[in-house]
Amino acid sequence: MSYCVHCGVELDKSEKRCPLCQTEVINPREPFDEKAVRPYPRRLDPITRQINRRFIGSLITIVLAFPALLCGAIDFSQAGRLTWSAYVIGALILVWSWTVPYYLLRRRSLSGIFIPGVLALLSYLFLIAWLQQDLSWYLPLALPLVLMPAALIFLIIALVWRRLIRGFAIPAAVLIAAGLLIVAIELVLKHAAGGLARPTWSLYALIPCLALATVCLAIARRQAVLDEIKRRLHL
Amino acid sequence: MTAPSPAKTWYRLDNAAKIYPAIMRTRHTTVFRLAALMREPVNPDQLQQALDMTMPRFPQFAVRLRKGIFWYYLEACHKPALIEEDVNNPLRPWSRTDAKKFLFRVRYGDRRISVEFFHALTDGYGASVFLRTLVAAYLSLQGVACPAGDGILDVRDTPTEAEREDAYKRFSNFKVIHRPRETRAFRLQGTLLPGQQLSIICGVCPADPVSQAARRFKVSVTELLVGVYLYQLYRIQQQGGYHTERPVRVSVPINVRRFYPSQTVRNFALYANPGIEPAYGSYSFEEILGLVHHFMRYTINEKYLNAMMCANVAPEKSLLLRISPLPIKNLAMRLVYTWTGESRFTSTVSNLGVVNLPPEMASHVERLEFMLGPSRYNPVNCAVISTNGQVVIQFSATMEETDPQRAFFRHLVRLGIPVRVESNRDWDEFGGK
Ligand SMILES: [Zn+2]
Repeated sequence: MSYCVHCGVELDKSEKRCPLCQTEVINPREPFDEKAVRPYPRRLDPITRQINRRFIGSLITIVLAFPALLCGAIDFSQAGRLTWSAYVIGALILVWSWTVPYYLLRRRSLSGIFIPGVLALLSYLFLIAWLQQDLSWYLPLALPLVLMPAALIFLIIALVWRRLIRGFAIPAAVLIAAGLLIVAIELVLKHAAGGLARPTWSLYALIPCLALATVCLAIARRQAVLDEIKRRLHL
Repeated sequence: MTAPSPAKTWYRLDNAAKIYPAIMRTRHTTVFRLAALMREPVNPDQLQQALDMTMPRFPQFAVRLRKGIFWYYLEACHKPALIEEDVNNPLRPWSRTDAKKFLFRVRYGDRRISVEFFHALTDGYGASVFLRTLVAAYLSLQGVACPAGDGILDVRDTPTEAEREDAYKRFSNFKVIHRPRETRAFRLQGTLLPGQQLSIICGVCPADPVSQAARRFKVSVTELLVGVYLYQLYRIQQQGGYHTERPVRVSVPINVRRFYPSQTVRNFALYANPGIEPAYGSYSFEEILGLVHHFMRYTINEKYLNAMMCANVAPEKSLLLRISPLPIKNLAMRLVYTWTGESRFTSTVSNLGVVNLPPEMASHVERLEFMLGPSRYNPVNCAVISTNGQVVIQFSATMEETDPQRAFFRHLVRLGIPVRVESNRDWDEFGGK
């Protein structure tokens, strides 16, 4: 039988090191026996981690469902149908659709969470337009102003997740996207107002964005500059 | 008391059990394990047969957990219980895929028969009755007759209503409700073991030196072990760069059966949390032992425990809580547990005490072992059981560092108690860590 020279405890034959202090067993008379029966087998029991996420998902559902039901009930008891509470309920469903799939989906993917979220946002805007009985702003304004940023954000996140762009290329991509987005927004606004669709003021935003993006791309290509920035500015 | 009762198809959770399904997490399994280390390798076929013989005696364990609108409940399930092979990381929580299975597992290793229980079913004592009955049935298949009685049930008897009563409800007298006020306790921190692993370190001491040391300090064995552990946790806190003013507390489950004539095999335990306040000054080992000793004497008596028990049963009487739907109840119980539960103590020392085995069984069982599941807030837990003149102290941890375990066992060695250590850590596999 061997003792740990450090702790003074006797060690089981199956212990190669002291489990308490990791000191190796040194006993010339009775060296560590590889074949000694270990008290526990090596096989690991796989553990599925799901309990926690589902809990948070259902928690958010409860927290959101409560005010939704309450507003619906009050509104219905007063007006006999849903009037103002439709806005509240729609907004709560919107919040739900942005948060809960993240916790409930078995396999999380960007498209599985992002695309339903964008669709929910569009549906909510449509609900507002429909409730106000004025659909004129929905197609020319709401639809493009939601879809364009959504598409750009989706593209950038997907590229970053796939590691196709990294480091200083990320701010460069964001700047280029933001610049283009501003131009697109101006075009949409002017088109909706019925004017000439030609960019004017947005170009003043686009040009600095592109300039800064060029600087970022230049830095991204120069390892030495990168190192220098890291050294001076590390947090 | 022995009148047979009609078979039930469902059971309410007992008072203590109600909290466990709500607080179960991947890293807080609310599962514990009792094992019998046999002298001969275990025969799996005979063990399965023994389990089939034992199950009808424990109908309250042949259940699965179901959700009602207002409460969880246990639904009788008539599938056969199957034994499983032992693993390196026992005490896996019950996940959704296990929902259709029983809330206990019987595992066999080389020489080890172990039962893992979800705490909603029973406490350590109830599990020890089940394990001893199972081992007796197993030995009877090998031609060794073990007499029933003293914690071993006769598998041919019919189960009684008294064995599955909610003893908390029956014995709380509601003279006064007392819930000890406690602040947030010191919390051990370390490197979390990779997802699936559990570090098990088991120390075996002969019982005589342990009780001699306890007698020398004029305390009980539990008080001695709790005192040693508290003192070492306190030293770790003072040296380890922790917040040094937080109270160090250890939770000690108390088997309440010794105060009340209950035959229940379900939960019937309460907790005492002895501790020290490092903000008041520095403590010596003797001082801590004295504090633990007097705290335990102050707490562990029928009247004080009943007042604590009433505090646990009282919420169950409130109509508002009872009619709120289960998801809201779960949320409330989690919040209450976060505020008043595990964060109020640093670790747990659960001493099941001396578990007597009849001589026929003792000649085939080397010792019993007791292990607690990992918990979310406290990375190291300790469980103690004594059989056949051996005290088995088993630490289960989700933390890589072994400082508390090392300090504890070294202290025992310094007190003149020889300790033999074994573990589940495989140095080749885990890269020498
Ligand atoms: Zn050592």
